[in-house]
This record gives sequence, structure tokens and C-alpha cells, in this order.
Amino acid sequence: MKANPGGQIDLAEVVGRDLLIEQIWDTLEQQSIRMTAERRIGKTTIILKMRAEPRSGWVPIFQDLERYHSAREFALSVYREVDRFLSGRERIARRSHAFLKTLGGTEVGGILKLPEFGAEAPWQDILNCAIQDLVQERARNDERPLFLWDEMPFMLDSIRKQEGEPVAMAVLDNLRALRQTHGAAGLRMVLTGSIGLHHVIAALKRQSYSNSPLNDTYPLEVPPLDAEPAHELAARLIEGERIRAPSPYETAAAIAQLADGFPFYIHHIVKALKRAPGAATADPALAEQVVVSQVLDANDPWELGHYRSRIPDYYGAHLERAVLGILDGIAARASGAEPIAVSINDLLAEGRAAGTLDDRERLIDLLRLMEQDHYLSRDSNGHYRFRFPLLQRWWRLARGL
Amino acid sequence: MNDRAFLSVFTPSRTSPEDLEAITVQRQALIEDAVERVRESATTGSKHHLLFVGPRGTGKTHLITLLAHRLGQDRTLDDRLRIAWLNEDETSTSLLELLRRVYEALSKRYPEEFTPEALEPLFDLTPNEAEGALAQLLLTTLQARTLLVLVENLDALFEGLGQAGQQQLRGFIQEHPVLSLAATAQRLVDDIAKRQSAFFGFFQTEHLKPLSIEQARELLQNIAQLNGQSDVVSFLKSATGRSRIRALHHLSGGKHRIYIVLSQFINRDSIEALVEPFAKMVDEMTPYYQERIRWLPAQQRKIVEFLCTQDRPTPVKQIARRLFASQQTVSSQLKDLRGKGYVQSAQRGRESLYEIAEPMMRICVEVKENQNQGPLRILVDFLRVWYDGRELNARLADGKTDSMARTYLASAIAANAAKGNLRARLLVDAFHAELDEAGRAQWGGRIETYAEECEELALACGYWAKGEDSEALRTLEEITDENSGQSIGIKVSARLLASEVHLKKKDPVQAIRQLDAALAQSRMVAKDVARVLVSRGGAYEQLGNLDKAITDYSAAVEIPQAPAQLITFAYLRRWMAYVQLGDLDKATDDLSTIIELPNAPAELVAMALLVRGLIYSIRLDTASAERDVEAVLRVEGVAPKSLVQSHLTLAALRVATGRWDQAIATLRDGLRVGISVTPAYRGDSTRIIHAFFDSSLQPTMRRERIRDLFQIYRDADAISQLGDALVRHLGELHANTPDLPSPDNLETWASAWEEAGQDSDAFRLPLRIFRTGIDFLKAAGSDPSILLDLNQEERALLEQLFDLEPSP
Repeated sequence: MKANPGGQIDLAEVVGRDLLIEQIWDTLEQQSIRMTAERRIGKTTIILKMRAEPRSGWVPIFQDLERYHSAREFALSVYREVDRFLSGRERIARRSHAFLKTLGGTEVGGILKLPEFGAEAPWQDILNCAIQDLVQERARNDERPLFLWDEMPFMLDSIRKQEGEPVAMAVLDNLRALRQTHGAAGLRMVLTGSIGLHHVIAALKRQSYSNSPLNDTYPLEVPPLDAEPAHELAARLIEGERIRAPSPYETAAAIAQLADGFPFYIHHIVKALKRAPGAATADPALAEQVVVSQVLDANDPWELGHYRSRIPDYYGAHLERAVLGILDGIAARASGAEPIAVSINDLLAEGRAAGTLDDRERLIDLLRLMEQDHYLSRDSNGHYRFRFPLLQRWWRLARGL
Repeated sequence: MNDRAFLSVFTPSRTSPEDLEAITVQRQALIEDAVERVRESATTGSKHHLLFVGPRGTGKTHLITLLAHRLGQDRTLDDRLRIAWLNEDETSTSLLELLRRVYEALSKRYPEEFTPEALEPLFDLTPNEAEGALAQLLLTTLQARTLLVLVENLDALFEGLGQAGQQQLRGFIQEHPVLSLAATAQRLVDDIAKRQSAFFGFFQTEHLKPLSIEQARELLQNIAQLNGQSDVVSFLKSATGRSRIRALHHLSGGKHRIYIVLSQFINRDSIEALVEPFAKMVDEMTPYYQERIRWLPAQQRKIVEFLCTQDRPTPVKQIARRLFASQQTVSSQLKDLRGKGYVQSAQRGRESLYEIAEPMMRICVEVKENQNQGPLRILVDFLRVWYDGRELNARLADGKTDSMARTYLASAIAANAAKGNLRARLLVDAFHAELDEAGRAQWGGRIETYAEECEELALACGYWAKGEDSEALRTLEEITDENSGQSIGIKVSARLLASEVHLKKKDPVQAIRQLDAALAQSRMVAKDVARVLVSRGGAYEQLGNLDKAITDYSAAVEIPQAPAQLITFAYLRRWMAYVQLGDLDKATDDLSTIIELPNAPAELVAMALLVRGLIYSIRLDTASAERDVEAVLRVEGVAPKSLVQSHLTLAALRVATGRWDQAIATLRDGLRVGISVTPAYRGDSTRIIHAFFDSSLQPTMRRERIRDLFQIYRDADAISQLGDALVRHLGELHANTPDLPSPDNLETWASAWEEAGQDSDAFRLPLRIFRTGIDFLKAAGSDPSILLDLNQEERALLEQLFDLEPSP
């Protein structure tokens, strides 16, 4: 297997996610899931693998939702997907068709011609009908439909911008209602996205949205790879790229560690290693050099810059300095690669000294948000540290600490 | 000779792929890697997405053409891969349009599978339905195969698609993992580089670099080989060939396209064969450059046009001033232009300087400026780089040169005279860019001097500066080759430089071999003979053969027409050799000769006088010593440093002979000279302190004089020099341990200085060290624990002075 940072991975080559996928299937027996994961951790690969290898009795339907910008587009896409799915299975979703035909839809040469909807089109009805069709259809075969919806926050954000907050809220409420109505019949959803859904809901709540549209879903965080599978992935890539490493085991272990178990960075390191001068003797020291040069590269090949640039979007311009102060404060204390944990009291004292934040409760809220966004994690003493040593390393260099 | 291959300048995809393969340089590994990744995409579930970024003319289409060609040739992929190479001139504003273009590209390449007729029914559907149906049609026809979409100008495609279209495309790729993209872009636009964009982090991005001079040589060589021009292949390896490549490099800015355009000129010697075709080429390329400038926003266009008129990198401030714009505006526009590959920047301190990335772009302003049919500046500049100064003159002097060519040659010579030698500057600039700051400081001036004399010498020196000794020596060997056509003087300079390289490598034998060969040349001028002899003397010294060194120096000083500076230098070297042999009489004789030499450089005469004066004083011939040192003050044009040092030496001599008032006056004068120059120089006062300590004085008198001395140093703001001298003097005392002064003597000495300097903050620190040193000497200089009164740094200073083991 060759290094393929950013590309699609052969599902047979996915490493170290079997256990997590089993857990997901187990959880789905009970409830739907909202999956959060830092971008590049491999969540799409996980759900694509679930689609490709479903547990018996499940019928997964995968959709990348970032392409839809309105509730209508979304509803129609679900309708089309359901229709495509059912027609492939010898039956036609008659109710949907009947419903659409009432609105002027026709069928031409086997291709269902959807009607041109007006501005007042009842997208909720389309969505509800399509899902109801599917659930009933599957139930007859003792199967359960599972929607794997990727990049849900992107779509909600687009809808919010294009149609306004109330429509985005309605989409969320509608999906919750569908889960409640058809949950007993087996309907499940996996909602994922690299922007935390909490940001979208927070934005909606600022517009007096008071529902909790996801509280029936199980929050599941996709972690980086454990050391062993990360090592295995690095070893496979070294082999696939035909990189000559005098001690491949140690080199792979070093790469896995340097990448914090992020598959994306493992792919990147191996690819850069192949190009590095001296690649004929790829050893842990060269891997370290490669990481340093990639982290320092002005083109930011690992796209770490977004950890900095997204801060005002995530927390608002008014909290930007406070967030920078927290991250700078923690990063500046670390000298090596190991993360250093800092107590809330110390962070509060620094915030006060710098004049960026002087309210303990606000600080705690902010730290929690930063934890949800994968900047920080807490140790057993409740102290905060960088979630990923690689991020800490980059932060120190990028901020000149 | 074969017929010349057709190498399309603007559409490499029209060039035969075999020819493109034959001329490919720099990117073999990159292409091979891309092929492997697409092959993996075709044969496994992994799908790689590749993006190659580089400004216009950097060989992107060339690369994509070869990728398509190699994949098309791979029979194992026949059933696994379908390639859709999109027509770059079409645009798409929606996923539907893009899918249609993909289908049509497939239809063109695989008409049996992707029949044009299958598209027909889709045109009756609404766009939404057509999109779904077309996607389905594509996926069904592809079956289990992978689709490789080759996209040129991805930035333009994404601009057309807009955010919504991009999201649709990305969604399509995610939902149907059958597609692999290989794309090119002129730069990383926000649609790819910004986190908010759908394709952020999606591609494996490769930034294409411009060709280096060496890679350019390889490209031109490949083109010549392809055309069966073996004479051009060998020409490119010659020194002239290499300098012409540099000339082309200057015009091309490292862009593949321009090398291909200019490759036709590489071995044209005659000016007539150059001028007309070059003017024709300018004519042909003008619309290309005009087009490139035309589509820029107005402000950026003005900046580019202005930079086209500049010969050198220009500061942002100056650009802003000339365009009546704010620096911030110009600066942000320049950054954008740099991203687009129009300009390049360099840093000078905090200042950013910009210049045109591709000097050929000047054509655009040329055409506007040149309505009066004057010589084309771009061609004038080209000739300035193409020929060296000698060649320009020789060709102008040749009666057979036609009048148009003469006009150009005269313009080139005039431009060099007015603006400096462009060819030499490019050479120097190239090395400057490769050396770090310290390297530039050490080598810059020397490379520049060589560049004016002979560019090959400058090249060799540049290689040496970069640590590429063998390349430097190889270049020097070419210069000294009997067929190199270089003058004897240049050949001698080359051998001298080669001997320096060998000496630096501690290989005096090779150095001597070079210098022997230099001396074997006939018709050498006197100056060169002297230079070689002095250098060979130095090589013999390194070899440890002082006799032979002295023989060479002796021969050098006997050359009647040799410059006085060289003769003086030879005497100095011989003086040092005699000193090393312990023959002080002969050494002193050489100093005397230098002092008497007519036209000897003032500094060397001053040095000889000072050294001879010191030798006299060691021999206790104070009168002669004083005469010599005083003579320094009368040497015309001597540097202030030497004046200060001779004053201080004279003062020391006068203290030693009890002429206190005279000594004080001389010291005051000397320090006054020292502080009148910038930076101030206050010399070394150890000798004065030494003489003063040795003079037998009553304790009261000593205290008074110490007060006087202290005041003089304070007035000259030279307290730290005084402190240094006092402490260094302790080291000298310690060196004569068996004859250490009595503790009482040392104590009165120390307490007198403490009393004199008690009010001076500046003196406090030297005094503390001095006092500890005194205490150490009072205890017979054998108890290092006394030094523990000082902190680590201060202690280290005395430990070094007293030659003690460092304390833990």
C-alpha cells in the first residue's frame, strides 16, 4: 500500500479500526450515533468500511452531505438514494412515487423525473415519506436501515446561511422526530462531521433555538490509532513505498509515535520520507528530521495552520486572545515532545495577568469547548494539556514560543 | 542530422510523447511516483488524488502528458483504468457540466465503450435529473474500473464550479470511490488551500520548482540529442556553453517553456545569426506575454509593467512611490503576483525587493516603448549576457559585422559601461543567492573581482566558496588547458587560485605542482612571476621547507618590474621565515630593506619600523628603538591604528628611560588620536604598565604617577584598556615565577591603583580581578584557591592568564 494522504483508502487495507467498528455496531443496536473526530483522523474511512461490510441485518446508506445547501436538496437526495436503493432490490417505493406524482413528478423511460418544486415545497414530507418507505420496506425483510451521513455540520451550516436558522433547526428536529418515530422499527443514523456539531447547535441557540436535537444520539469520539496499529500502518506504507530502512521496525515505531497515531500524518511522513535526501537509509532520526521540516514548511503540507486560523470562527473574535493565551501558556511550558499539564488555577492566573480572561466559570466553559475541539485533554488531576503532542510541537514552533 | 523534432512551445500535449520523454529532466522521479500512485488507484480500492502546482511555463502540461502516455502504454491497466483528459479550454459551472466533459473525454478516447449516443436522452432531463442520470451512466459504463480524470488548470475549474459545485464534486467522489484526480494549477488558490474549502487537504500536492542551471543544461542537452546535434551536445559542456546557459537562465527565470523557445540560439556564434532570429522570436512571443499581462487586475498590471522597466530588484517603497500608491496596497498586490509567478522577491535586511520573475516579460513594455524602431532592450541585454566584454568589443571591431548587428553590439557595450557588466553581475548574484551571510561577507568581494577579470575564475571561486573543491579545481583545470583560449595572465590566476584551494586542503605538494606549472609558462609578466613565487614560498613553508621558501621569496624580491607591494610582501614573508629559523640578523636586515624600499605600502613600512624598534628595545638599544618608532609617526598615509600603537610604544620606551613627562604627553597624544577615529581604537597599554612597574620609584612618587596615569586613561575613556593592561601585566609577572616581585612591592602597586580608581565605577570590575591576581602572586602564585574570591567567568580569565587548570 502506498502513502495516500487525503485520498481514499482501500477498505481492505484499513488498519486498527475493527474493534471500534464492532463497538459502533453494538451501540447502534440501541441508539443512533453522533460521531465527532478531528479532521484527518479517518472517520469517513470508518463509515465507508461500515457501508462496505455491514453487520448482518443492517442496510447502510452512505451520503456525503456537504454538497447539499438547502433542506429541499437534502430531502430530495435522501429520496433519490432511497429510490435507487429500493429499485435495485426489485421493489419500488410506491408511496414515495405516489406522493411525488401528486406534485407533478413523472417517469420517463425508467428514469424517475422529479417535479420542479416551488419555494413552498414540503421538504419535510419528502424526507418523511422516503424514510418511512425505506423502513417499512426493510422491516418486511427483517432488515434495519442505517443512514451514514457524513459532513452533516457542513450541510447544516450551508442551510443556515442560505435559508436561515429556522430551517436548519427544522432539519435537526425533523431528523430527531424520524428517529423517534421509526427507532423501534430499527431506523438508525450515524451523523459525522469534522466541524463539531456543538458549534452548529451553539450558533442556532444564539437564535433562540432551545431544543436538544441530538440528545437521543450517542456521542462517540474517534480516537487516533493505538500504538500497535499505527505501527502496523507505518510498516505497511514503508513497504508499499519500497523505502529501504535499515531497521524497519524501529522506523515504523518512530513514525507512529511522531504522528500521534493520526493515519493522515503517518501517510504524510512516509511520503515525505520517500522524497527525503538520504531516504536510502530511512531510520528514526531521518523520520524526526522529516517531521521537523514538514512542520516548519511554509506551505504547511500537514495543514496544521487551521488549528490557529479556525479559533475566531469557533470561539468568536472576543475570545480569540483568551484561547491563544491558554494554548500559548501550556505550549510554552513544554520543552520536549511530552505534553505538560497545567491546572485551571494557573491558567486563570495567567489569563488575569494578561487581561484576557478573569472569570473562572467562563474559563472552565472555554476549556471544555477546547476539549471538544480536540485542542486539549484532561489528565487524572483535572489539569489541561495538549490533546496531541504533534499539535503542541507545531504550536510552539508556529507561535515562536 | 535528423530532422528537428517538433516541440510545441505552448501545447506540449501536441508534441509526441516519445519526444517529451526524451527531453524530460528534473521530474523523472516525480512522474514515476505519480504513475505508481495512479496504478495503485487502478488496481486497489485506494484512490490517490494528485495536484501539481507551478506558474505558467513550468512544464505542467508536459508532466500530465507523460503521465497519460505512460499509463496508456501499460497494457496491464487496459481492463482496470479509463482516462478522461479534460480539454483545458472548456469551463464547467456545475457538477453536471463537469461530468459531461468527463464523459465526452472518455468518449473521445474509448468511443466503443462511452458512446456519444448514450448521452442524448439526458439532454431532455432537468439539470438535477441529468446529473444523477449521467453519474449513473458513467458509473455503469465504467463497471469495476477506475476513472482517472486529468485536469489542467484546476484553479480555473474550481473557480467556475464555485463553492457549491466543488462541494457537489467532492460529495460525488466520496460517495463513489472510483475516481482518481491528477490535476495541475498555477498556484494554490483558496479553493484548495483554505480549511473551509471542500477540497482542503484532499490532494497530494507537489510544488514544481523552476529548473536550476544544471537541470537547464540537461534539458538543452536532451533537446540537442533529440535533434541529433552532437556538436551542440559537446558545446554545452564547454565553458562558453555553460555561460550561455546562464544567459538563457537569466531570460527564462528557470521556466521550461522559455528554454525550449531559446534552445535554438544556444550555439549561434555569429551575431548576425543571433539578432534576426531573436527579433523574430520576440515578435512571436509578444502576444503570449501581452496576454499574460492583460488578464491581470489593473493595479497588478501597472506593477508588472513598472518592474519590466527596472534592471535590478526594486524596493516596495520605490514601486509604491512611482505608482502613486500606498505601500500596503503595493505590498499585498506583490504578494499575490508572487503567488501567480509573475514576480520574485528577495530580502535585504527588513526590506523586500521585487523583480520580474521572467525577464522575457519585458517584451511587453518593449513593444510599447519601441515605436521609434530603436534597438530592443531585451536583445541588448541578451547580448550583454551572451558575450563577455572582450567578445563584444571584438565583434564590434570586426569590419564584416553588418550595421544592424553593430548597432546592437554598440548598445550592449554602452549599457555595460553605464550600468555595469550584466553578465558578471548575474554570475555574482547567482553565488550570492547560494551563500549564507557569512559566506557572502567572506567571498562576495573576491568573486566580484574575479567576475570582472574572467567569469570562469569567478565560477571556480564560487564553487570553492560553496565547499565544492573538486568542481572548483575542475573549472580551473579547464582555464589552464592549452586550448582554453584564455590569456596567460588568466591562466596564472587560475593556477594561483588552484594552489590556494590545495593549501586550504593542507596539500602543499599539489599547490607547488600548480605553481611550478605556472612558472613554466613563457611570456609571463613580472607581476605574475612575483605572485607565483611568493605563493610557492608559502606552500614550501606549509611543507616545512623554510630554505626553499626563502629561496622563492629571495627570487621574488629580485624581479625588477614587480610591483612594490608584492616585493614588500615577499620581504615580509622572508622576514618571518628567518624569524622561524632563528636568524634574527637576517630578519632585521629584511625589515630594514622594507623600510628603505621606495613606494612600499605605508602600512607595511610602519609595521616594519615598529617591529624593528621592538627588536632594538629587546637588545636594549633604546635610542635606535625610539628612532624607529618615532619614524612611524612620519610615514605618510599610515593608518590611525599604527599611529596609536607607535605612540603607546614610544610612551613605554620613555617610561622605561625615566622621561616621565615626555612619556605622559606621548601617551595622551596617542589616546587622543585613537578616540578621534571611528570606531575608536585605544591600543594595548601592557608595555607601558610593564615599564612603569619596572621603574624604581619611591612609593609616594609611584602613587602620584599612578594617579596621573589613571586620569589620562579616564579622560580618554580607556579605563577598560587600562584594566586589561594591568591584568595582562600580572600574567607576564607570573610567567617569570622564580623572580616574582616581593609581596610588599605587589601590595603597594595594588593599593596605589585601588586608591587611584576608588571613585570609578568602570574600574571596579577590573580592579577586583586585578586585586585577586595580586593576592595570588603575593602567595607565590601557587594557591589557586585564592581565585575562588571571583565568580566563574572572572576566575576563568585569571586561570587562563596564569596558565592554571580550570577549576570545577
